[in-house]
Amino acid sequence: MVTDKPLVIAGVELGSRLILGTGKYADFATMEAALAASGTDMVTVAVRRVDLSAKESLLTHIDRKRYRLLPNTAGCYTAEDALRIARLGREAGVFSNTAADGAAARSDWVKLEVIGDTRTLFPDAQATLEATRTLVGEGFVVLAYTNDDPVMAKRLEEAGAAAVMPLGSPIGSGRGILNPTNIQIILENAKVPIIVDAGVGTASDVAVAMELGVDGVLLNTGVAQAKDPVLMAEAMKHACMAGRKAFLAGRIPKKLHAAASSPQEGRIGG
Amino acid sequence: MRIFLNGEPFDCEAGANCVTLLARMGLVPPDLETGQVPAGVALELNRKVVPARKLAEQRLSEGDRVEVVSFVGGG
Repeated sequence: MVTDKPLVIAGVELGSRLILGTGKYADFATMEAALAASGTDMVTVAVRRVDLSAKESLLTHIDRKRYRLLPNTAGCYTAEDALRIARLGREAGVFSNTAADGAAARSDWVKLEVIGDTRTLFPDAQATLEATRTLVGEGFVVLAYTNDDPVMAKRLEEAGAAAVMPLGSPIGSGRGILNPTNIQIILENAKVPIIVDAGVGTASDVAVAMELGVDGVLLNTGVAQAKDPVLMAEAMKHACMAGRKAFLAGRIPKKLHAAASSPQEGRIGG
Repeated sequence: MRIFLNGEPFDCEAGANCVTLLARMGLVPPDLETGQVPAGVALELNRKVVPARKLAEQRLSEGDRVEVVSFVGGG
């Protein structure tokens, strides 16, 4: 039987192929339960101006021993803004700079997202590439959100992205994987992990992505806005595992006509 | 003197530094001895991040633009 290897990004082994967002949950308790149910060990967070009226901080609800934080640059419309947010996120992610655990506490990982259009939230390819080059030069581990464009995916890889994250469909749209053939072409060419980021609406979307052979799926809205986010998180976990196993197992080719499962020989009444 | 904190005008005493400012905001001030900073907070002065270990020595000047950020839920 084929056995799987864990997902490795920039030399770091992850315990799950699902990455979850932390936005849009009704409350922190639901978020915590959903993260746990999903089996993920890496969660995205956004960087925003401190809200002094906020009663609680997000971080008090994320067990940093269990989950790696992946700050994003969501909401940035220029490469320059994305660079500022990435640098702030890196600094905010430093929880201790004492000599003993300083290195371990520091995270240079960033989910780079430079948006080009407010209505579709499609990425600005040129600005994303530019920001990737700069951040890689500054020592960041860049996981780059991008369109399902094989040429762009290759350019991002060449620019040093540690993972390339094509969208399945627009962010928060829940429309699933709209262009599986492009995702397959991206996979054919890739030397770094390919993670479908955005568009997942339900468990079968995760399974479809994983069956294509992608290395992981990043999702947020599909879980956070489900009627029962915790149950959906669990469904996503199973879909991810099922899709991965189906990919490794190797599906049968699709045929136009039927192929009987029972023998043709020995039928009575011949 | 007047600075701009998270986009809004903000009055603080002349010669204030970044730690003074964080304390004024009610954020846990960095422990200067251990170098511990408030969990998940970062400060940018005139578009440049001020590392935690430099917060105390970084003085503010009239018209400075300061951003103080932290993590929130996001995808």
